[in-house]
Amino acid sequence: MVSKNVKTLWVLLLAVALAACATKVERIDSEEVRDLSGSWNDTDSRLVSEEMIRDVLSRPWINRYTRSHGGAPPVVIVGEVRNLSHEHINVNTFVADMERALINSGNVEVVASSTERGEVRGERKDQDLHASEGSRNVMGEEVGADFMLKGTINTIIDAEGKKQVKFYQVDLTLISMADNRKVWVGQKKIKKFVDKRSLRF
Amino acid sequence: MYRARGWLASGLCLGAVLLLSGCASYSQRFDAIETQLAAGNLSGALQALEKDWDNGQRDEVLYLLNRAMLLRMQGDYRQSNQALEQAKHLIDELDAVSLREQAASLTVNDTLKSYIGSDVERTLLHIYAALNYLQLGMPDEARVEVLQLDVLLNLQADGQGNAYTEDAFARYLSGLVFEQLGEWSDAMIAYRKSYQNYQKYRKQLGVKPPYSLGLALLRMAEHLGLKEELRQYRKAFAIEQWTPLPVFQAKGEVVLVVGTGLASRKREESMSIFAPEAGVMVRIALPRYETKVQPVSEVRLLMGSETMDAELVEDIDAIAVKTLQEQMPAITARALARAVVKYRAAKEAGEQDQGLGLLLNVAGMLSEQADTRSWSTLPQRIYLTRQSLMPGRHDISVQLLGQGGHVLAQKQFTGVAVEAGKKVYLSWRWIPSYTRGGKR
Repeated sequence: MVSKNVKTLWVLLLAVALAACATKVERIDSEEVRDLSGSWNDTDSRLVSEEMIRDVLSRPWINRYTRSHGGAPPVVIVGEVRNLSHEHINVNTFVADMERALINSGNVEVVASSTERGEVRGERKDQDLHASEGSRNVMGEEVGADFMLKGTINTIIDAEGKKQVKFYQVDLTLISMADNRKVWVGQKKIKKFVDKRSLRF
Repeated sequence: MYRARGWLASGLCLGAVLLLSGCASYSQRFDAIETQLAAGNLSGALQALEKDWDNGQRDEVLYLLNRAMLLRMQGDYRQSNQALEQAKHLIDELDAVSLREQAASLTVNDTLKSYIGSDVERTLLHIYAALNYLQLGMPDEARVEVLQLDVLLNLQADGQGNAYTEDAFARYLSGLVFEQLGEWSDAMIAYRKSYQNYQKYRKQLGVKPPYSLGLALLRMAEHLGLKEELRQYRKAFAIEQWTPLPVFQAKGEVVLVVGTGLASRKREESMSIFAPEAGVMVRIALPRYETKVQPVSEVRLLMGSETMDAELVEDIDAIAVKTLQEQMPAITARALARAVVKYRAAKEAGEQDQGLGLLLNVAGMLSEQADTRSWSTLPQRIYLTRQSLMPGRHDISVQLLGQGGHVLAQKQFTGVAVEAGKKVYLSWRWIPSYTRGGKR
């Protein structure tokens, strides 16, 4: 009887020891796919930005604009990407990815968004007072954008018990500031099946 | 047989050791927090909560929910939402059935199961998260909570239970969020579902569909051209006149949410019987709601010479009591099964060694504890009022009237900025200075 108790105690101690292991950190490649909860993650964000960038740079709107404007590249401003999904998604990552790809392609110019502009204008105002004549940047010389990039993230979720089908759809639109024409529409769909575990220790 | 008994005995011993280290029940431990809240000392209550929280994962959800509520009362909506978000993830993780905890709940007591909140608590988690976002002026984030609510409510509607199947207030709030974002058809659907569930509320809980919901339904039905429904709601709410949506949108709106009191708590009720033929004591402990008196009878909004009554939209106490009633057969069955297990273990051990039998009997008795855990910082009731106002700054005061019609408490909101087509959310949580008491 007593030996049985001791055995049980050992098993329990072992279990506790296993459960209370120290934090483990492992570095993984930023390209590696690792889905934990089934929620929106870095992989989804990357897939969306890759798809969108490939699409937006390969479409005829750039050439059409440059041709009709004597070789000048189009100027784009990034507007709001609304999160209409079931999750609190950080949209900034793929918006930043897209902005970077647009600028680095050399075919498009990007101007600061309305939130960024505030700070820049503050600095310019400050220069007006404090900077030397030669280094001063004057006000009223900003470049106006020709196109605005806007978008939405939508989800459809179908759930039953521990099973869920998650469908994400990201839509981005490039709208001409001059006449509201939509010159490009990009879309990326992601579908996941999440089967939550029904047992735990 | 011998082998099984050995395991059982060690299980019981372990359970007793676990419990002797933290004998006070959750409900008792909450007294310190309640005392601080009754004295109006929010930071004291938060400190008491932090001090009390020591036992790892099992009660962590509860800790996070209480923390979120106290932070919200302090007006720290951002941090409140962080705590709620953590609670959400933890509930998701703990939702899976744990065999270890199931075994413990069948042999030791129910409090050894991880707390993941009752249906209404999990719904209110999203409701408060949405309200926090709305008060922070982030309607898009509130919309995310509303969508999560929709998934949750649909899952809950598939579950068991009759008294509380789908939260009517959650649907009403969803409608408000969609309306604020100009998504009329979604707002209509949410309002409609809310109305259907308020009809169930009326039968089960005595909460009527709010008049303001009637007005919202009429506005939406008219705007979307749903003639048949319009006729139906006109009759149901006996409303002849309402403001059409375009006129309504030219004005702004103040939405006031008032939480009153502290939710009733569960207490333990136990019974001990001596079984003479085996020389063993048997004890059974069950939870029971100790309902508190409702000090507030009316919530009134005053603006200049105008007065308006806020309406009861959620009776949290009534829902909690009803759901516990429905769960009682299962809880009692588990308690009885436990009593049998403990009784047999003590009896069989006693046949071999009297000392061990007594030890097991005492351990079994001491470890028998009712699960009295609940989100105790919730209010007893939630009242809501909507006031359509001209754009500009407004002074609004709110009065709580007691059962005798006297003013219990009053609060002023000065210079509330109202913009056309937008909603401003105001909230007030009132806790009386005498919270204990009521029927024991």
